[in-house]
Amino acid sequence: MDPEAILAAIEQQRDGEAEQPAEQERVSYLAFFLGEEVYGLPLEQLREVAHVTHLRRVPGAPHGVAGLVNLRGEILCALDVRAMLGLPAQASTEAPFIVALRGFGDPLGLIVDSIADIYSVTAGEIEAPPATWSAERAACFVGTVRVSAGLMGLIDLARVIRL
Amino acid sequence: MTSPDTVVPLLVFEAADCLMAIVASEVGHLEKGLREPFSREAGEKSPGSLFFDLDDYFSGAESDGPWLHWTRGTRGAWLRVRRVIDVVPVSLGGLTPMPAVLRGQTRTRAFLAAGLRNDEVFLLLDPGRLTA
Repeated sequence: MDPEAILAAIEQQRDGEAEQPAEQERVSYLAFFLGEEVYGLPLEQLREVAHVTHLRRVPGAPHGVAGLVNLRGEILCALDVRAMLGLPAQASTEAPFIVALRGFGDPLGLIVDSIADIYSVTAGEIEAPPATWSAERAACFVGTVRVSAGLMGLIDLARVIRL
Repeated sequence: MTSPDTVVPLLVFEAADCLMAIVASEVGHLEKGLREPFSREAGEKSPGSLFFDLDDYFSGAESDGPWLHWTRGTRGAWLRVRRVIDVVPVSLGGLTPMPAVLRGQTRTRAFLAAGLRNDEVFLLLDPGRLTA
Protein backbone atom coordinates (compact mmCIF):
# COMPACT_ATOMS: atom_id res chain seq x y z
CA MET A 1 0.00 0.00 0.00
CA ASP A 2 1.26 3.46 -0.91
CA PRO A 3 2.45 5.65 2.03
CA GLU A 4 0.65 8.64 0.47
CA ALA A 5 -2.62 6.71 0.44
CA ILE A 6 -2.10 5.80 4.09
CA LEU A 7 -1.45 9.44 4.98
CA ALA A 8 -4.66 10.43 3.19
CA ALA A 9 -6.57 7.75 5.11
CA ILE A 10 -5.12 8.99 8.42
CA GLU A 11 -6.18 12.56 7.64
CA GLN A 12 -9.61 11.38 6.53
CA GLN A 13 -10.01 9.42 9.77
CA ARG A 14 -9.01 12.50 11.81
CA ASP A 15 -11.39 14.75 9.90
CA GLY A 16 -14.16 12.21 10.34
CA GLU A 17 -13.74 11.95 14.09
CA ALA A 18 -15.45 15.27 14.72
CA GLU A 19 -18.37 14.46 12.44
CA GLN A 20 -18.84 10.86 13.49
CA PRO A 21 -22.01 10.16 15.44
CA ALA A 22 -21.52 8.55 18.85
CA GLU A 23 -23.18 5.30 17.81
CA GLN A 24 -20.71 4.86 14.96
CA GLU A 25 -18.23 2.36 16.33
CA ARG A 26 -16.16 1.56 13.27
CA VAL A 27 -12.46 2.20 13.77
CA SER A 28 -9.91 2.13 10.95
CA TYR A 29 -6.78 0.12 11.52
CA LEU A 30 -3.57 0.13 9.55
CA ALA A 31 -2.57 -3.49 9.00
CA PHE A 32 1.09 -4.31 8.57
CA PHE A 33 3.22 -7.39 8.32
CA LEU A 34 5.99 -8.66 10.56
CA GLY A 35 7.17 -11.66 8.63
CA GLU A 36 3.99 -13.43 7.58
CA GLU A 37 1.95 -12.29 10.57
CA VAL A 38 -0.40 -9.34 10.33
CA TYR A 39 -0.82 -6.72 13.05
CA GLY A 40 -2.96 -3.63 13.33
CA LEU A 41 -2.88 -0.17 14.88
CA PRO A 42 -5.72 2.37 14.95
CA LEU A 43 -5.15 5.12 12.38
CA GLU A 44 -5.86 7.71 15.07
CA GLN A 45 -2.61 6.66 16.81
CA LEU A 46 -0.57 7.14 13.64
CA ARG A 47 0.96 10.14 11.96
CA GLU A 48 2.42 8.78 8.74
CA VAL A 49 4.11 5.84 7.10
CA ALA A 50 7.35 6.00 5.14
CA HIS A 51 10.17 3.83 3.88
CA VAL A 52 13.14 3.71 6.23
CA THR A 53 16.08 5.28 4.47
CA HIS A 54 18.38 6.48 7.24
CA LEU A 55 18.36 4.29 10.33
CA ARG A 56 21.16 5.03 12.76
CA ARG A 57 21.63 2.38 15.42
CA VAL A 58 22.32 3.75 18.89
CA PRO A 59 25.10 1.84 20.65
CA GLY A 60 24.05 0.65 24.06
CA ALA A 61 20.36 1.12 23.34
CA PRO A 62 17.99 -1.22 25.14
CA HIS A 63 16.25 -4.17 23.55
CA GLY A 64 13.36 -2.87 21.48
CA VAL A 65 15.04 0.29 20.19
CA ALA A 66 16.08 -0.11 16.55
CA GLY A 67 17.74 3.30 16.38
CA LEU A 68 17.10 6.83 15.20
CA VAL A 69 15.58 7.65 11.83
CA ASN A 70 15.78 10.81 9.79
CA LEU A 71 12.26 11.30 8.48
CA ARG A 72 12.50 14.32 6.19
CA GLY A 73 14.56 16.28 8.70
CA GLU A 74 12.77 15.08 11.82
CA ILE A 75 14.58 12.59 14.02
CA LEU A 76 12.36 9.75 15.23
CA CYS A 77 13.18 7.07 17.73
CA ALA A 78 12.50 3.85 15.82
CA LEU A 79 11.19 1.00 17.93
CA ASP A 80 11.75 -2.60 16.94
CA VAL A 81 8.19 -3.85 17.37
CA ARG A 82 9.27 -7.33 16.35
CA ALA A 83 11.61 -7.48 19.35
CA MET A 84 9.04 -5.86 21.62
CA LEU A 85 6.52 -8.54 20.75
CA GLY A 86 9.08 -11.25 21.32
CA LEU A 87 9.17 -12.31 17.66
CA PRO A 88 12.39 -13.75 16.22
CA ALA A 89 14.65 -11.42 14.27
CA GLN A 90 14.38 -11.82 10.54
CA ALA A 91 16.63 -10.47 7.80
CA SER A 92 14.56 -8.75 5.16
CA THR A 93 15.69 -8.13 1.62
CA GLU A 94 13.41 -5.12 1.25
CA ALA A 95 13.66 -1.73 2.96
CA PRO A 96 11.33 -1.73 5.94
CA PHE A 97 8.72 0.90 6.73
CA ILE A 98 8.47 3.18 9.69
CA VAL A 99 5.05 3.90 11.12
CA ALA A 100 5.24 7.28 12.88
CA LEU A 101 3.12 7.41 16.04
CA ARG A 102 1.18 10.25 17.61
CA GLY A 103 0.40 10.91 21.23
CA PHE A 104 3.78 10.28 22.80
CA GLY A 105 6.06 12.89 24.33
CA ASP A 106 8.93 11.91 22.06
CA PRO A 107 8.73 11.42 18.30
CA LEU A 108 8.41 7.64 17.99
CA GLY A 109 7.91 5.19 15.18
CA LEU A 110 7.61 1.44 14.72
CA ILE A 111 9.72 -0.48 12.24
CA VAL A 112 7.55 -2.90 10.27
CA ASP A 113 8.27 -5.15 7.30
CA SER A 114 5.50 -4.08 4.94
CA ILE A 115 2.03 -2.56 4.84
CA ALA A 116 -0.99 -4.77 4.24
CA ASP A 117 -4.10 -2.58 4.05
CA ILE A 118 -6.50 -0.46 6.05
CA TYR A 119 -9.43 -2.25 7.67
CA SER A 120 -12.55 -0.81 9.26
CA VAL A 121 -13.42 -2.77 12.38
CA THR A 122 -16.30 -2.63 14.84
CA ALA A 123 -15.86 -3.37 18.53
CA GLY A 124 -18.08 -6.42 18.11
CA GLU A 125 -15.69 -7.98 15.62
CA ILE A 126 -12.78 -7.92 18.04
CA GLU A 127 -12.10 -11.24 19.71
CA ALA A 128 -9.78 -12.26 22.50
CA PRO A 129 -6.30 -13.43 21.47
CA PRO A 130 -6.19 -17.16 20.70
CA ALA A 131 -5.73 -19.44 23.69
CA THR A 132 -2.61 -20.80 22.01
CA TRP A 133 -0.84 -17.47 22.56
CA SER A 134 1.20 -17.16 25.73
CA ALA A 135 -0.17 -14.88 28.44
CA GLU A 136 2.85 -12.59 27.95
CA ARG A 137 2.18 -12.29 24.23
CA ALA A 138 -1.58 -11.94 24.64
CA ALA A 139 -1.04 -9.05 27.07
CA CYS A 140 0.42 -6.98 24.21
CA PHE A 141 -2.89 -6.97 22.33
CA VAL A 142 -6.36 -5.57 22.82
CA GLY A 143 -7.67 -8.44 20.71
CA THR A 144 -7.68 -9.98 17.26
CA VAL A 145 -9.79 -9.61 14.15
CA ARG A 146 -10.09 -11.95 11.19
CA VAL A 147 -9.35 -9.93 8.02
CA SER A 148 -8.52 -10.90 4.45
CA ALA A 149 -4.79 -10.74 5.20
CA GLY A 150 -5.12 -13.19 8.11
CA LEU A 151 -5.67 -13.01 11.84
CA MET A 152 -4.80 -9.41 12.69
CA GLY A 153 -3.43 -8.80 16.19
CA LEU A 154 -4.53 -5.39 17.45
CA ILE A 155 -1.52 -4.04 19.31
CA ASP A 156 -2.00 -2.33 22.66
CA LEU A 157 0.54 0.44 22.10
CA ALA A 158 0.39 1.83 25.62
CA ARG A 159 1.23 -1.57 27.01
CA VAL A 160 3.91 -2.45 24.47
CA ILE A 161 5.64 0.93 24.73
CA ARG A 162 6.16 1.28 28.42
CA LEU A 163 7.80 4.69 28.55
CA MET B 1 23.11 31.58 28.53
CA THR B 2 22.62 29.88 25.18
CA SER B 3 19.60 30.36 22.93
CA PRO B 4 18.23 27.86 20.42
CA ASP B 5 19.78 30.01 17.70
CA THR B 6 23.26 29.57 19.12
CA VAL B 7 25.55 27.87 16.64
CA VAL B 8 28.18 25.59 18.11
CA PRO B 9 30.99 23.91 16.17
CA LEU B 10 30.87 20.16 16.75
CA LEU B 11 33.63 17.68 16.05
CA VAL B 12 31.97 14.74 14.28
CA PHE B 13 33.59 11.33 14.49
CA GLU B 14 32.82 7.68 14.03
CA ALA B 15 32.83 5.24 16.93
CA ALA B 16 30.95 2.05 17.72
CA ASP B 17 29.52 1.95 14.17
CA CYS B 18 27.86 5.27 14.79
CA LEU B 19 28.32 8.96 14.04
CA MET B 20 28.95 10.90 17.22
CA ALA B 21 29.92 14.47 17.98
CA ILE B 22 31.35 16.47 20.82
CA VAL B 23 31.71 20.21 21.24
CA ALA B 24 34.79 21.10 19.22
CA SER B 25 36.01 23.74 21.66
CA GLU B 26 36.27 21.04 24.33
CA VAL B 27 38.76 19.05 22.28
CA GLY B 28 42.22 20.10 23.29
CA HIS B 29 44.38 17.55 21.55
CA LEU B 30 44.29 14.76 18.98
CA GLU B 31 46.78 11.90 18.78
CA LYS B 32 46.81 9.81 15.63
CA GLY B 33 48.10 6.36 14.88
CA LEU B 34 49.17 5.27 18.32
CA ARG B 35 48.08 1.87 19.46
CA GLU B 36 48.19 2.87 23.10
CA PRO B 37 47.36 6.25 24.54
CA PHE B 38 50.70 7.97 24.61
CA SER B 39 50.10 9.43 28.01
CA ARG B 40 48.25 6.56 29.62
CA GLU B 41 51.19 5.82 31.87
CA ALA B 42 51.57 9.45 32.77
CA GLY B 43 47.81 9.81 33.05
CA GLU B 44 47.52 6.93 35.45
CA LYS B 45 49.97 8.71 37.68
CA SER B 46 47.71 11.72 37.86
CA PRO B 47 44.47 10.96 39.64
CA GLY B 48 41.33 11.77 37.70
CA SER B 49 42.66 10.97 34.23
CA LEU B 50 40.16 8.85 32.35
CA PHE B 51 40.53 6.85 29.15
CA PHE B 52 37.55 5.68 27.13
CA ASP B 53 37.84 3.63 23.98
CA LEU B 54 34.36 4.44 22.69
CA ASP B 55 34.18 1.33 20.51
CA ASP B 56 34.94 -0.77 23.56
CA TYR B 57 32.68 1.29 25.83
CA PHE B 58 29.60 0.93 23.64
CA SER B 59 30.12 -2.29 21.74
CA GLY B 60 32.90 -4.25 23.41
CA ALA B 61 35.35 -4.18 20.49
CA GLU B 62 38.53 -2.16 20.78
CA SER B 63 39.31 0.57 18.27
CA ASP B 64 42.67 1.35 16.70
CA GLY B 65 41.79 4.93 15.86
CA PRO B 66 43.01 8.26 17.19
CA TRP B 67 42.66 9.56 20.72
CA LEU B 68 41.00 12.90 21.46
CA HIS B 69 41.67 14.79 24.63
CA TRP B 70 38.46 16.25 25.96
CA THR B 71 38.51 18.96 28.62
CA ARG B 72 35.81 20.92 30.39
CA GLY B 73 36.97 23.12 33.24
CA THR B 74 38.98 20.94 35.56
CA ARG B 75 37.62 17.72 34.08
CA GLY B 76 39.19 15.80 31.25
CA ALA B 77 39.33 12.44 29.54
CA TRP B 78 40.96 10.70 26.60
CA LEU B 79 38.48 9.38 24.08
CA ARG B 80 39.45 6.85 21.45
CA VAL B 81 37.38 7.04 18.29
CA ARG B 82 37.52 5.11 15.03
CA ARG B 83 38.07 8.15 12.86
CA VAL B 84 37.52 11.87 12.94
CA ILE B 85 35.25 13.08 10.16
CA ASP B 86 34.63 16.80 10.27
CA VAL B 87 33.93 19.92 12.28
CA VAL B 88 30.45 21.24 11.53
CA PRO B 89 28.61 24.29 12.85
CA VAL B 90 25.30 23.16 14.35
CA SER B 91 22.40 25.25 15.62
CA LEU B 92 21.38 24.10 19.10
CA GLY B 93 17.76 24.55 18.05
CA GLY B 94 18.28 21.98 15.33
CA LEU B 95 19.16 19.24 17.78
CA THR B 96 16.59 16.73 19.01
CA PRO B 97 16.74 15.74 22.68
CA MET B 98 17.28 12.03 23.21
CA PRO B 99 14.01 10.15 23.73
CA ALA B 100 13.08 9.08 27.25
CA VAL B 101 13.65 5.44 26.43
CA LEU B 102 17.36 6.21 25.90
CA ARG B 103 17.90 8.92 28.52
CA GLY B 104 17.63 6.54 31.48
CA GLN B 105 19.93 3.81 30.22
CA THR B 106 23.41 3.38 31.70
CA ARG B 107 25.26 3.63 28.41
CA THR B 108 23.00 5.84 26.29
CA ARG B 109 22.59 8.49 28.98
CA ALA B 110 25.91 9.83 27.73
CA PHE B 111 24.10 11.06 24.60
CA LEU B 112 22.48 14.45 25.06
CA ALA B 113 20.77 14.87 21.72
CA ALA B 114 20.71 13.83 18.09
CA GLY B 115 21.32 15.97 15.04
CA LEU B 116 21.72 15.70 11.30
CA ARG B 117 24.80 15.99 9.13
CA ASN B 118 24.10 15.51 5.42
CA ASP B 119 20.91 13.58 6.25
CA GLU B 120 22.85 11.25 8.53
CA VAL B 121 21.89 11.12 12.19
CA PHE B 122 24.67 11.81 14.68
CA LEU B 123 24.62 11.58 18.47
CA LEU B 124 25.85 14.45 20.59
CA LEU B 125 28.03 12.89 23.27
CA ASP B 126 28.69 14.42 26.66
CA PRO B 127 31.98 12.82 27.72
CA GLY B 128 31.30 14.00 31.25
CA ARG B 129 28.56 11.38 31.46
CA LEU B 130 30.74 8.44 30.53
CA THR B 131 31.22 6.15 33.49
CA ALA B 132 34.48 4.40 34.18
